[in-house]
Amino acid sequence: MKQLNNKMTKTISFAIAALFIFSAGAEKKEAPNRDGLSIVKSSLSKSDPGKYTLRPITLVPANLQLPSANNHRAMVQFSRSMNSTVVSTKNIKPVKAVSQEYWFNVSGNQLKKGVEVNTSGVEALVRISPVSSVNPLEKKASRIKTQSGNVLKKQNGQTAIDLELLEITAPDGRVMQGQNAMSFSANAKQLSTTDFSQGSSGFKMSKSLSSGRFQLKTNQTIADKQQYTIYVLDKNSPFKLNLEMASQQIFSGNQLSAKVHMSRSGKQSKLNSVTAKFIAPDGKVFPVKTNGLRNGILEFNQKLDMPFSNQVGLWEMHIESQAKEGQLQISRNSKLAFAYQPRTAKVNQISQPTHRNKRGLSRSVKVSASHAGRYEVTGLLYLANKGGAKQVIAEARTAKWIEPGDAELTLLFKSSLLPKLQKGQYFSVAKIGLNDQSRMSVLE
Amino acid sequence: MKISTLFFTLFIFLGSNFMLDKATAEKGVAFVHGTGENDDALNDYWTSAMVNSVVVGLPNSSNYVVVNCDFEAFMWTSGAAGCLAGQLSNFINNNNIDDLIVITHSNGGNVMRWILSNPTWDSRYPAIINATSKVNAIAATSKGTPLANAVVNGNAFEQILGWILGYASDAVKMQQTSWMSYYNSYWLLGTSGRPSLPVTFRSVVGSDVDSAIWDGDSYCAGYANQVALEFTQNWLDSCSDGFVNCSSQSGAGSLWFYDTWKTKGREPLSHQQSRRDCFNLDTILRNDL
Repeated sequence: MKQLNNKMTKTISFAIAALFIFSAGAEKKEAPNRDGLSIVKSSLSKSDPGKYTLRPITLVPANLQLPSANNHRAMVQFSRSMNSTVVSTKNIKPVKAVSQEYWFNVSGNQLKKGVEVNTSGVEALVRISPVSSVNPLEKKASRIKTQSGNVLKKQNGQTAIDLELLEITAPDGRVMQGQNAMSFSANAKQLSTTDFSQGSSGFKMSKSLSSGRFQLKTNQTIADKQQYTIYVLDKNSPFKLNLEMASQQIFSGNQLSAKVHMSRSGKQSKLNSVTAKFIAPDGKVFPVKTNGLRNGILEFNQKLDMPFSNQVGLWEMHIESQAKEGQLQISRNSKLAFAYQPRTAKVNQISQPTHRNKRGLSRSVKVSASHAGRYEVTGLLYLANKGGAKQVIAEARTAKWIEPGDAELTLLFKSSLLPKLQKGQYFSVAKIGLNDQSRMSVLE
Repeated sequence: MKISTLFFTLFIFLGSNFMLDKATAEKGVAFVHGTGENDDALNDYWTSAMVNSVVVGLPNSSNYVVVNCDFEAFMWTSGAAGCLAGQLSNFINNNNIDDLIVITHSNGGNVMRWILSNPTWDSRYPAIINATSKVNAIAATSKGTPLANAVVNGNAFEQILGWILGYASDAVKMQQTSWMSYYNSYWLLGTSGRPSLPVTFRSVVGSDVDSAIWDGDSYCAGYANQVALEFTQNWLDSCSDGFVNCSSQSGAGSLWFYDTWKTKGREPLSHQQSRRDCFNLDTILRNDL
């Protein structure tokens, strides 16, 4: 019975909250109350920027294990003047990646026999990196000399490829080495100052080699089982893989919408095959189920219901694709990052009216949280008039640690930010935002 | 004493106090390094020649700090922004700094922008924001860099291991273009379409890499670095410093200058050269203090 009562109370509260429509309104009168606060009375106004509608939102179950990026406990309030015309607290937009690159792994044995690399544009860039097979955190670099005398780095048995010992067979059958085949090259020692994985070396193919099917073959002594990644950036190719995502932020249970298509010199071209997967912040891989290509294009909407990662960070969608140009296979890989977020809190109520005292103008925001964490509310202060004109003049933010359940956070726009009101003007607090700083989720 | 004389005396007294306060305002400079875990950024990242040349422009040339933090980590972590906040707070408090100029390089601009964009993340942040008068962000990776994509890409097998074992650092992952697109849209301020930052954030843009073996300019900050950056520039736009596109370097805040507008001999600054005393960059920064 008690449980039923609780449920009913919760349901009624929820219904009231769901129906609650907040609208900051015209300032009518200020009268000090018992706490010394002035209450700014408000009325509803359709044109008011402070109009705020509470929507019914379901939070994730409280027993769900989630990581935390911020465990700071102290309450922090901050406000500042703002005269920017751009006041959106978040910038939701579709995101797109355009790829002219692909990569694949080969063994040392294959590299000694010769491996095929396809390009559809001149002067492709090729990078060859030894693949680490041991814990990279324990890597210990040692210096070795290759047969050509170059000093390269060797790590845990990995051998960098010496470009001077790399033989390139061009599409027309010419076999070349060194400067004849490469218009520019950087060996592993030179690339060691970059962020490329240790032992990487790379080159740009000479323009005279044209494009098409190449063979790379090393005359270097390398271990048969050593793995290498061959990375090709076909920068001058007309073929571009386009990966588009409707939004980079998706709540659990919502759909991720994406489109994958190939273009050739800006015009639509057909893909032959596409595979997709999601990679979690902790490296776990989740295959993406699609309905396959339609007219050489992949479009899909997938409801996201993967388990949450135990690490804070972004997820990535990875795409591997193939297309055909005559007998030549065009490979492209691409990826985009997105935030896969749990709904850990929601705004329950925004206080009406606004309070004003010597410290400034304040407005309380009640939130409900399913998980303990550090939460932030944000809001903008508008100077408005009865004629409908409005102008943002300040921003306030407040964050504090909240235990599961209901809590209140108060936005404070400090006095120094408040201009003296002219006749017919009033303050309006709007664009209330809610962020979970512990899970790094933008909730509202 | 007449009342008017009394008021006049009081006015002068208060006025002189105000002037004294202004006169004692302390200007300081903080140097914030880029990606990497530093314990001696003065010598390993900036060089003392660069730092000493810049701080000569301060009223008190000892009012500077060279930050040493773990910027291999994500920008919001205690090792990155938390460490930066700690060192800036100590510097501000110990020296009564109320006019702080922050000079950042590369990813250091993102870590500083994290603090400026998320004032309630940590109780030390508001005081830092209030004390900071401007940030000069040199070669910032504000919109990420395709080179970070390339570093992580092409390591299909390695990446899966790396994400578990930390091969590709979190900072490199974070500086991939689609990652920065997300953070710029939701967590960082100052890019197009987003609210402005609470303090001035000005970008210095490096636009090219010279690595001709016969050109003496290729040797400033080390010839080998120039060769590597010339190679990595192949992943980037023609306007880039070998690590970051110009569009990313100028992607947040306001543009201060492109290298060739102000450098000696209109020389471009590569990503390596823009943290060294190359082509009068040190003098330009000094004259701005």
